[in-house]
Amino acid sequence: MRKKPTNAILFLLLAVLLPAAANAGVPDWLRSVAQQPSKTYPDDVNAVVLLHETETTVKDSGETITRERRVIRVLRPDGRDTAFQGVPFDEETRLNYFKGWSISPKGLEYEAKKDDVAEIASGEGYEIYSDAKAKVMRIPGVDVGTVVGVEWEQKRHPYTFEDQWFFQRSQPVEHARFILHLPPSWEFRAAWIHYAEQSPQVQGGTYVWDLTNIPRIEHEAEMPHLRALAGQLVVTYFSEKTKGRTYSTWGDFAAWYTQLTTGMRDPSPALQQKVLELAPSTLPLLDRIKALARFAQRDVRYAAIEIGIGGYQPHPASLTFSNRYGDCKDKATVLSAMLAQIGVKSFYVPVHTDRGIYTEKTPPTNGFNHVILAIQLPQGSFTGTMPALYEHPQLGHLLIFDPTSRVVPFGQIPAYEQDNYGLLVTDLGGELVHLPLSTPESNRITRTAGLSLLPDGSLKGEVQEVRTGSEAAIGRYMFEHQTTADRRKILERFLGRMLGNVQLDSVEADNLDEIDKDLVIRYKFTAEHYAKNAGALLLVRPRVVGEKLGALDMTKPRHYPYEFDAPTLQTDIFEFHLPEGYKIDELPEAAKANFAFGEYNSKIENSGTQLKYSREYKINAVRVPVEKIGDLGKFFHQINQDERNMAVLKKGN
Amino acid sequence: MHAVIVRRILVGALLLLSAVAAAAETHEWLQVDPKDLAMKEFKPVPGAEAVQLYYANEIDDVGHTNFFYFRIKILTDGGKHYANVEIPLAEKTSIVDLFARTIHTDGKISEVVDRPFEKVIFKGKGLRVRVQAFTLPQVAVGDIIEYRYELHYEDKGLRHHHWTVQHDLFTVKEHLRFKYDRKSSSVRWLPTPGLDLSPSHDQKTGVLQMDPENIPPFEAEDQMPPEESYKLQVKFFYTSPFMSSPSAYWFEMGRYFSRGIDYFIGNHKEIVQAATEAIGGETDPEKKLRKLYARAQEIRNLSYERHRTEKEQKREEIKENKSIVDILRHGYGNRNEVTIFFVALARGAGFTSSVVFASSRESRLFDREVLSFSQLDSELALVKFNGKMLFLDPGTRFCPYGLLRWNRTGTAAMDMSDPGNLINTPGAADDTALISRSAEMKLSPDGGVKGEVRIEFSGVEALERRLAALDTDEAGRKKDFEDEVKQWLPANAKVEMTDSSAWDKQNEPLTALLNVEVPEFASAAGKRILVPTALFQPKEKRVLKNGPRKYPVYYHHAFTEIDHISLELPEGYSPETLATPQTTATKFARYSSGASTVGNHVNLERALRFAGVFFQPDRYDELRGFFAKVQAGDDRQTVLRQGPTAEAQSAH
Repeated sequence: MRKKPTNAILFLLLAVLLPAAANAGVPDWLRSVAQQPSKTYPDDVNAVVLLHETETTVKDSGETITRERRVIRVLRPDGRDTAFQGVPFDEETRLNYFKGWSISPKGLEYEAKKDDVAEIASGEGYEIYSDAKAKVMRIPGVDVGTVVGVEWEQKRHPYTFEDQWFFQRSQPVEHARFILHLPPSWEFRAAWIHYAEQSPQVQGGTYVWDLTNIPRIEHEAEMPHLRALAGQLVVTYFSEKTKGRTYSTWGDFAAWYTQLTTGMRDPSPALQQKVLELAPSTLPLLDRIKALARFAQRDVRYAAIEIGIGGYQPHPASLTFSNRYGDCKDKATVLSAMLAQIGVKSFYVPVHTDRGIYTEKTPPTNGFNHVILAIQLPQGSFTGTMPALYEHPQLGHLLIFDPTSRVVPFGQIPAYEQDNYGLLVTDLGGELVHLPLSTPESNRITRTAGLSLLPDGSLKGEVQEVRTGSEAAIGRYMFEHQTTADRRKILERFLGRMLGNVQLDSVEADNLDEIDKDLVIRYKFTAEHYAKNAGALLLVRPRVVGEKLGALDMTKPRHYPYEFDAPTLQTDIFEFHLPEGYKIDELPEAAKANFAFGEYNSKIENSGTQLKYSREYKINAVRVPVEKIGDLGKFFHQINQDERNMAVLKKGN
Repeated sequence: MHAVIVRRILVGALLLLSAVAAAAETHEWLQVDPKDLAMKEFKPVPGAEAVQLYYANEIDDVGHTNFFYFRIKILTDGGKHYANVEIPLAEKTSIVDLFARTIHTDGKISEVVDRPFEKVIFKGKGLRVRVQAFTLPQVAVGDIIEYRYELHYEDKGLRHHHWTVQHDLFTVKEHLRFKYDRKSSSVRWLPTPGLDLSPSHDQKTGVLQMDPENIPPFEAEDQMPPEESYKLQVKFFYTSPFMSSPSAYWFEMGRYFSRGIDYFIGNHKEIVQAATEAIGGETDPEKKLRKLYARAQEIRNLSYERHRTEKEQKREEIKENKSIVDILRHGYGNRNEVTIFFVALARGAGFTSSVVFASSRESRLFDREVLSFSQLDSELALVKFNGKMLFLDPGTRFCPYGLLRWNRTGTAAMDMSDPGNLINTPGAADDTALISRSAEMKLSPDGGVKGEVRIEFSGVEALERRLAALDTDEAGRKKDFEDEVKQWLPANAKVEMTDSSAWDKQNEPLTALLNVEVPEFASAAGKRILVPTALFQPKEKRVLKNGPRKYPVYYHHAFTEIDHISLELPEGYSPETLATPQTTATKFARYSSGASTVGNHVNLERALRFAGVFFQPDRYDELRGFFAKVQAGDDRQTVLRQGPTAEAQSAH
């Protein structure tokens, strides 16, 4: 999901082209909020949200009007970008109005005018076309101390009847309010995510939730996604008129999705013919499935065209097959249609590509951003086990497969989908399922190096790196879209960080495109001045390449868990041939750090003319809870010390 | 009469149709070479995901059209993304005759039949930025994709066109054509230096043409000058008969701007009065100038405040300065106005002073052949006295007297008192950008160090930090500073700034005091501790990789780093070997480092003075060799040993 440079250009365009108008009718509600006394916040809070109010009025026809008001006080120069406010819309959402004002600390009032508003396309990545747009406003007069207010109203004809209210963000919120007006005979269900349940004040068909002093979500390295931490209210509406477009259970949601995808997997004759070609019945069933999976993964190019309901609904499999392009749900659909031709059932699994946003506690809500497939493997069609296998009590062996990933082979799951939750959509309904987490042993880096140390401290080395599972995927991502020369540059940068003045003599990569096989990278290098001369001593760092140190900042208290991409097992074995005349005088001690989330062990052996350094780094869990951050700090500290330790060689007599 | 009109219309229509037919003939699909279809890999670029077999661009300034043709061979799965196409469309531009197709390896063809999507990327302020987007169908590895289209410009005015010669992909063949408007004015063309091709020119038809072959993709190198100056292209300029040569252009344009400045400055008694007041009783010419410089910098410099739109300025009663006296009266101006104000004061005090238009070298390098006065985008002041030319930068906030901001040093400029004559502003010596770091640290047996660090920034180093600090507050300044120092230190360093001073005293060094703890500074080896010479690590950008160099190496400015680290040793440890002193010098740089011992302290000294900015590729090895020695010096180790030991030896 690559970002196009258009966003940076747009920001510049907005800054240059949107002037700022002055003089305006600042509404009383904004003046009233702006007059609230300022509270004290930590030095690094750029702005504070004084009011975030969302008011939703549901009409009996199902039409929904949402009005939003936000009032923000700028506290620091870095908060001046509060001047830019935006609101999304699309073909199904009409923006009735969008207004903005500011009140300076000296009381100067400004109102944004028509010239201060621009419309932008908000599609990104590999999208060919999306009708998602946004109005963006530059509010005039914004500086430190300014209070900014915006108000907009949308008229919506939603596909599904729910509101997701994200009231907790990276700025503190002093007051948040959600107001709901429902027609008689309509009902609602409110569910709280990452926040204690609150009861509304009720008056007739109006429900009001008031929240105060909501803390910000701070940024920390390797933290979970903001939505996996931030408070959120999900309100779902029910009436006779919303049947099929609202849900109180995951089963209801799955039914809506099923209705949306009905008929989309019908095959065309060309598709059927291709299945015969790719997966003849003479092959074992698992090979036939693999062949079709590979086709959807490799031969159907990712390209998204999303218009209206197309954000949720896939294109017909026959069309995607004919075009040989589509987005994630199109690729899943075409594969599902092909698998059906060989009698294999498969089920859609909508997921979110950031772990932690959906958990076993998440109420039924429509916030998925990706679709993968669960393939029902018939009993006896395979032997052994695979990291992507999910055992379902009724449906049996389900193999989770992501045809959008270009580098994760059949039998494995991309790291970001592991230990994540997805909605299994079946004929009978649906359920949120916990996707499997792979073992460290299935995601390995095994690095071996033969090294010759010369008396002047230069080091010549031959390294072989064998990568499996998610580590192979990382290697393939790294080398994807690169020419041989560019791969060399990547490796030179990697080695340069650790070896300084290094010359890469050769690079080879095996099985880059054959994703079912281990990725093997081999290279030879010469590093000048690697070992340091100090009189009769030669000081050499046995850990030549590879850095395992994480990005944990131990200088500040940690608020949130630390996340690793995936479990992993990485081993290094480096054998040094020592320069003639030198003997080992002193060696660093072995390192050992064992915790539940990870283990690290290293040792160094001396055989006279040879020095052998070996280590093993193992990560068992993808999330280290806040209570264990101290242990993680110790873990990284020991790794860092070991990685920097030196062996002392001495010129012998 | 009526019949005549009808006949004329018919003839006109026929002519139009034949023209369209001719154009259509010209812009048919090219034949496909079976060798291209059979190609499995492209040997000149091993591992390439795609190769551009053909690219055409035909600009017609008579018909106001611009034709493009792309033919791309897909070599890997990764290369399929070239099948997703976006064509940007400027205002008042339409796209016609857009055709696209996929040619499969068996020769079969899949045409794009759907209309492209039009995406409005930006709409506002009477401006619309659009793209036409489409994707080619059934693209597989080995296929060739191709598309062609013609842009039609509603606006019939003349444009500054260019041919893009170098692309993201290796391009096998190109056809570039420019039919210019002979009636309007003359045309000049300028190939990027390094492009060994020149267009053929048919003056009768007014057509320039070039057919480059085998153009490799542009590959940026680390630490190179602004990339745009090196991407191969041919730029076209329409010039008036009076400014047909670069000399004439720079002279005429310089004269035009010079007159404007003289008119703006004029001769006002208020300015003379202000200069007299600023000078007071001072008689020394240089001290007078310093006082005038300080007076000019008292003007509120709006260029370093939050950007205000015209309407915001009106609301805040910020008015336009229509003459030099307005600057004095209003007490504010932008950076160029502050510069001009200084020049006016200097003239008012009897100095020979002028405004200099300099080319900022931040995002591009000046090219005399590019006839665009906007290259000289930055104003300086020039004072001639005592037989010297003194360049000053009063318009840059916090810029002390005598210093220029780095992007205006060693660059092309024009003195407005001598229009047309392009000169160079002076370069900056290494001592004009100084970082001086001294640290009193205590070493622990596990290799960690803890103590107080004092950092002084002088000259350009102070100026840049002071300017950056304008965008933030005290807390932001503290954080930015701590983050910067962390970048210089080994991983996991704890840094806390306890004090800083002289943020707004431009004539003093900017100083900071920090508490620093580096848990992993020295390395352990049994009973020994190995201490590197440099606590502050060199910036990664100075590590230059091996291998040939294509483009020059470019540094923003000369600099000096001086470090003094005093290390208190842990109890029971004493030096076994001190790091070997290292000294290396070239024409452009000097480096020295070493260690000494005093009592239970080891003192680590390091000095790096670097005076180079621009290094041609033939000096790459020399430059790389110098930094390799710096790195080796920084990595030299002082060996400490537990227990009683012989007197420390220098490790010669």
